[in-house]
Amino acid sequence: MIRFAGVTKRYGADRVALSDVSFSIAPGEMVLLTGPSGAGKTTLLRLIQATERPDQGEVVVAGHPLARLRRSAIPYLRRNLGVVFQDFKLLGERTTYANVALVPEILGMRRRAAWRATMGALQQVGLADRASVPVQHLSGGEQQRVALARALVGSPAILLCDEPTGNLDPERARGLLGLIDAAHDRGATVVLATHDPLVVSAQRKRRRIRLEAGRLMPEANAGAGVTTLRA
Amino acid sequence: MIALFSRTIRGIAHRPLDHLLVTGMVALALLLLGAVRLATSHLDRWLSGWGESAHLVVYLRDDTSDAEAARLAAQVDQVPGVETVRRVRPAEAHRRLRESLGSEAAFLDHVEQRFLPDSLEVRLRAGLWPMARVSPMVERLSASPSVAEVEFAGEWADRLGRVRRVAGAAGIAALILALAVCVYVVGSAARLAAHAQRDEIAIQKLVGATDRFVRAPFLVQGALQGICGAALAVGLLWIAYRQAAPWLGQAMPFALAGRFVFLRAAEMVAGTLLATLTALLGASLAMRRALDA
Repeated sequence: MIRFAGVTKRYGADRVALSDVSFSIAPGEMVLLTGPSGAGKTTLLRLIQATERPDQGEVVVAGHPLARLRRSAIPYLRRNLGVVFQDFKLLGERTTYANVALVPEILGMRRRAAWRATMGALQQVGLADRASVPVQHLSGGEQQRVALARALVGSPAILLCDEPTGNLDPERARGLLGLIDAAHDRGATVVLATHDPLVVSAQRKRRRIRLEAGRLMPEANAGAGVTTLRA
Repeated sequence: MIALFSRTIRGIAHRPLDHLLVTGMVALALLLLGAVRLATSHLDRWLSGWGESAHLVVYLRDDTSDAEAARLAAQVDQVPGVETVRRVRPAEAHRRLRESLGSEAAFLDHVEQRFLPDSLEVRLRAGLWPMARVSPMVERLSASPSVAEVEFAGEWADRLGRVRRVAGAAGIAALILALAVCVYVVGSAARLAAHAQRDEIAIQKLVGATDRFVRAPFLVQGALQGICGAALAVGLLWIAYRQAAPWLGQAMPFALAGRFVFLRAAEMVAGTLLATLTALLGASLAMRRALDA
């Protein structure tokens, strides 16, 4: 489903965000992308979304080599991705409902179907009763759940989560991880980027891809499998 | 469609003053265009009507022979723009003058017919161009030894022709100005609005919006500015026309017999359509640049 082959990404001349990173993620797999802040996790997720292009190597998502993807095709790739951004990327003045309903609208759903999908996603994250509240009036944790609802509402094939529990207390974090697990159980391929020990501990049976200073590190997984290393 | 309309309205509500200003500027440009169009159409009607009654009279000297008069008449008849040439003898001139004086005709009782000159009455085709064509001929006739005097409003024709040409050029300039204002002002407003909503646009694109999806409400806004600007311009022009027409009718009773008419429905529809399409083009170009940046 996702394949990185010898990917290097630099910002400027001397800042290397990713260096010769290779791995692959199978369809329906859920992996943890771990590493300290600044390790290159967000850059890796941005390469999957085609908001960045690698300086070297190849990124393949859902069978599409992104380097050969036309600019006009990128939106259609992104419609297969549900993304929980580290900084949420919500429209503060708009309501919870409007933020989540943006995706069904872009997907061209009819109004009634869009309403059902949006309210369904808000119910999943426990925010159906906050649908009419402007997002800027919600707490950080609630905003994070709105971001998750928006990522899930289109039933994407791939779910990318960048530090999704960053603003949540342990109980809320476990709840949110449960929602991500549920999306995975419905067949989504999930990449969960985190440096939160709670998440790593809760998901210890998942395969882990560990980055440090932009390089892929060997990871001793307790559970199902070892990261593919080609570095 | 409802979602698009809703996004459009939200965009307008986000910056209502900008939209009012743009609509006002489009309206002003179209108002100028409409006013020039109204003026040129009336000028055309007036000149055309004026040309219909245009004629010249060639007064012959007393000693001009019939053969010489016939030769002059044939010469004039061949000039392009001349419709008819007719010889008017003193007796007929006397009769006509008597008829035109009506109850005052008694003044002519002691005037002998021979005091009225023999003449050639030349009727021209309608419009200004025949008058322009016959102007050189008038100069030649005036120099002829058989001709005492030529009565002709040729200089006026030249002057009015120049006025018409200036009015035509003003019409083209007003059209270019109106189109340029629509493209530039609507385009600038779209670019500013896109800049103000850049965060929202970035988020839309991150979650899979195509350029067409992002661009659509800005195009609808541009089209609405064109339509509203045109409607406002027609309204203002109508008010100005209603105020000015009676005054012009009194001030210039000789022009069009005081009858003034407003723009035709087809002209108003064409103007609105042109403004809408041009505004759409302005918004489209601006958004193409904004999204490529």
